[in-house]
Amino acid sequence: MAPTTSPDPILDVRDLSVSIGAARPVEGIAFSIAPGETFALVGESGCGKSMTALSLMRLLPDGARIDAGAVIFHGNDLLGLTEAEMRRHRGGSVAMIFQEPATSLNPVLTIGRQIAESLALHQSLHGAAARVRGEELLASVGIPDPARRYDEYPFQMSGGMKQRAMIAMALAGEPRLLIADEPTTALDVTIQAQVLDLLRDLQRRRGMAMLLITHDLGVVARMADRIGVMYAGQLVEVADRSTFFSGPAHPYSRKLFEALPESRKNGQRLSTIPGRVPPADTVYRGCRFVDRCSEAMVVCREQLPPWRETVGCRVRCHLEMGAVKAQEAAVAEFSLPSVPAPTVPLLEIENLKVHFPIRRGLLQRVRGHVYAVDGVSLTLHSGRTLALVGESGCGKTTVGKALLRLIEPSAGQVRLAGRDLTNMNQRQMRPLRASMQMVFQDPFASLNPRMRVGAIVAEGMAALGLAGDRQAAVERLLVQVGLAPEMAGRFPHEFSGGQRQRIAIARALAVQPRLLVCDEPTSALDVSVQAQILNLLQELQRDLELAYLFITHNISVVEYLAQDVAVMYLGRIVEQGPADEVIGNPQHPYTQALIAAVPRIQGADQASTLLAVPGDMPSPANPPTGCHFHPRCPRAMAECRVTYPEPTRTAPGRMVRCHLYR
Amino acid sequence: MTTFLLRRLGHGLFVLLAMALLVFIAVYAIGNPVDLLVDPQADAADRARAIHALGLDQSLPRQFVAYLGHALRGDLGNSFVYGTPALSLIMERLPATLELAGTALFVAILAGLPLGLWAGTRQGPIRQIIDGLSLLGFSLPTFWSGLLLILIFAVTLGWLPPGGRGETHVLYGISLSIFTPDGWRHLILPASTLALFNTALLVRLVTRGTADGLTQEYARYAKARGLPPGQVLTGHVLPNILIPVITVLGLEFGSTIAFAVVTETLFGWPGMGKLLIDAIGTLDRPVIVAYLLVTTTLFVTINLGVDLLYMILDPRVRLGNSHG
Repeated sequence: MAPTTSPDPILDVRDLSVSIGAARPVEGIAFSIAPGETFALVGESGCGKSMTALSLMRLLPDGARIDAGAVIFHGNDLLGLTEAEMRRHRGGSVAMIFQEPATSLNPVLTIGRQIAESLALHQSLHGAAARVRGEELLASVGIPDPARRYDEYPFQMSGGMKQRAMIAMALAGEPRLLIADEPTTALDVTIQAQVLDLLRDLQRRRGMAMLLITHDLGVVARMADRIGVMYAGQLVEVADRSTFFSGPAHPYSRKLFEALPESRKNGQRLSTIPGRVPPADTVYRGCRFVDRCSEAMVVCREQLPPWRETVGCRVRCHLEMGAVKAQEAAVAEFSLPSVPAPTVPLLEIENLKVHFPIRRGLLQRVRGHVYAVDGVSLTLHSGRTLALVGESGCGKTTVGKALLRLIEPSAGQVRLAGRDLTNMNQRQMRPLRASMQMVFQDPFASLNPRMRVGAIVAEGMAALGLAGDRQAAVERLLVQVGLAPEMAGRFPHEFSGGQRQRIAIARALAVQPRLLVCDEPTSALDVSVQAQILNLLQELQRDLELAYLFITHNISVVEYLAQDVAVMYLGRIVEQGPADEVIGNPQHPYTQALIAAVPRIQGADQASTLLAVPGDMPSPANPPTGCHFHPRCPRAMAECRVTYPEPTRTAPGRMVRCHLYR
Repeated sequence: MTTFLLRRLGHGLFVLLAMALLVFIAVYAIGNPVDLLVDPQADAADRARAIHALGLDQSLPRQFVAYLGHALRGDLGNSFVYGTPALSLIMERLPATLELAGTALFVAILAGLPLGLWAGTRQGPIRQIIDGLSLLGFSLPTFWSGLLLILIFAVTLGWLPPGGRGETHVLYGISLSIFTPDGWRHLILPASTLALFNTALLVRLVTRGTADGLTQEYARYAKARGLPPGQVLTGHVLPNILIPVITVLGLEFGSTIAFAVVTETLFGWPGMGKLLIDAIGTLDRPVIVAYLLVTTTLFVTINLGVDLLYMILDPRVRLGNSHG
């Protein structure tokens, strides 16, 4: 089968181009999808993936228009239909699901009403018949107790449940093609695994074609039959799954793989892609990737590369096929920081608790507590990285904030270089604040948009009364994080996400901290930018002997960066130990599930289902009795329902809280 | 849900109490009512008797309690001018004001909501024109737009009467204009004057809300499910923007009642506002006090109504409490 055409495609996109004024976000896209097939569009943000999907649905934002091309669906050109005819396809034979289930469902209408709307429109089902069908659909996407859930509002459901409900709504029109735009990006890994399995299962049963848009190569490896890589509005490579994963042909595709953090790259510098995706109004003569390509030749600047075809792959590149350098050769060796022998720990957290009161009723009496953090103990040495892993809502961010006293802990001790912080008042804390800094997740929200970069970086020095030439210090810091000194005069909005995160790191470094609490610092960034930031953090750790408490849900980042890892579930640490050991040989069933749920590129097989743990994380206001994990645990025993397991040392430096290891 | 309502009721009562205290301090404790009430020629004994009769020899807190007790029994004193209970004077005029303000609000919703929804789906010049007109609408002072309407429709064209209430129909002891054609003829001009500000405000609010709502994910998703634009607008965007709209309308209804003063004076509409102006002119303190307390009660009641509407419109308020 030729990789770019399907024998009898249900969808055939030909030479599709979209413009917004002078900008051309999508130019000359062509691909096709067969019934029952999954085609994945990959690429960094700003490459035109979502714009392509929206133009297939003819749902482009105001101001954007389709300039050329055809979208042949089931023999008809969708672009030639009237708006009313197109509406019959939308949500009917072509359905779409969005990235954010939380905002895509109407908050003031019940799930049932929103499904019934689709059923009335596309299946002419009304009243009781619509309800019966709606409940069937909810059941088919694995929502328990559909009769009750049918009458619930979106805010009463968890994120995973909402995504399932959105899929049920998409199925209401009996689609032949499902367009899924980053369907699991907003979800936790265990929930992502559940939803991916569900999508694949539904697709098989219905013979539905799927266009999957994602930036996550792990998800691609698990789901896709064929892959299209987009760069700057164009497809640069279309390949079969096996061909693509055994060796992507286009330099951009290869760079995407090399930038991924993995355990085998531990101690090496991650390969990055210099620069950024050019703006959509750029006028090109040659290859669009030329400025960021390490293998660019003279001809690349002069001529648009032709499509070259080999078995299982089409690529738009001037390089001869097979002239590709070995993947690993591009990865520069990174001199690993010689991890100092553990002496006095820099940070010791002992039995830290943060309980938030729940107030209810007329008099606002305390009726219970949210046990956000419930007895966490951690130790961290200078120059080392401790990763705190867990799903959203497990309390990992609260740990970070509580140790900086941004939230007051309810109990427990935090010692920094032997000094107890928990009994200090805010004034006594102030001089110590210089030693501990935080880098937040969202570089767009964490920098004051009205302050110049120089002022942002210098603010901490002034607040903590550090002496010296601040302007020189700011410039030195900007250089240290890989920015130019003259950027001090600019405002945050002039920078990209990765550059902003560099500014946030410079701000943290300004007061010469010894500990950085990094709360998901790369999860809002594209892989190539993530690689840059991870490299920077490694360099800084080596040069400044910094200790990192790295809060993340990304197991690959943990493998790559951290020496130690602590896995958190519902306010408590369930497993702890050296990162390579814990990830290589997880002992707690939750850790096992968490690691199994991460979609992997190596050894990924479409046939295997992800070892999905069922259900959602319970509420920390009302944790299950006994072991918190037992309702979801495949190996739960009678005892697990009764008592919370005590810590067990299973190996030197390893701790697990599970009845299986007593 | 009941907790929510009870708490709101508690807030309302607290506001009423605070207002009573403020009014008490402002009107009773400052200045000496004896000078006003007792004949300047009266001797010291007469004055003392009057002071005792009025309870003014008691401590301030005791006086406040007595005043509250009277207020609770509906006794806010007798008007100095008319000699009748101040509260019944207000209550006689209240229906006329409510009728005027209610009609104005109704007109505003009827005109503002559809216009705003429509304008929200448009872009470019139409949107800008409507935006500009609404800005003009709530910048125009009421007395001026009122005068203009009188000049055009009453004086020049002679279609409508310039003032007065016209023929009224008595229903359950309350006389209302909306049941007679003549009453309507008298109501149109003052109600339109009063509605102008609210309509303009509503148009602006709904236009922004609609334009914003249409770019939200849930509206885009509704479109992606094939719903026609009208259904996306009325079935998805409207229920979401009604929540802020109700809040503003609730507040505005209160101030429409309060600021009906100007319009009522202008059109000779015999409502509370006109009574208040007269009372201020003659320093008729009990009437002023009664007016302030009645208005506060109205505000509090309207806000409770708004809270009830919230519960109907927003499931997060209705069901939220049980989820913490």
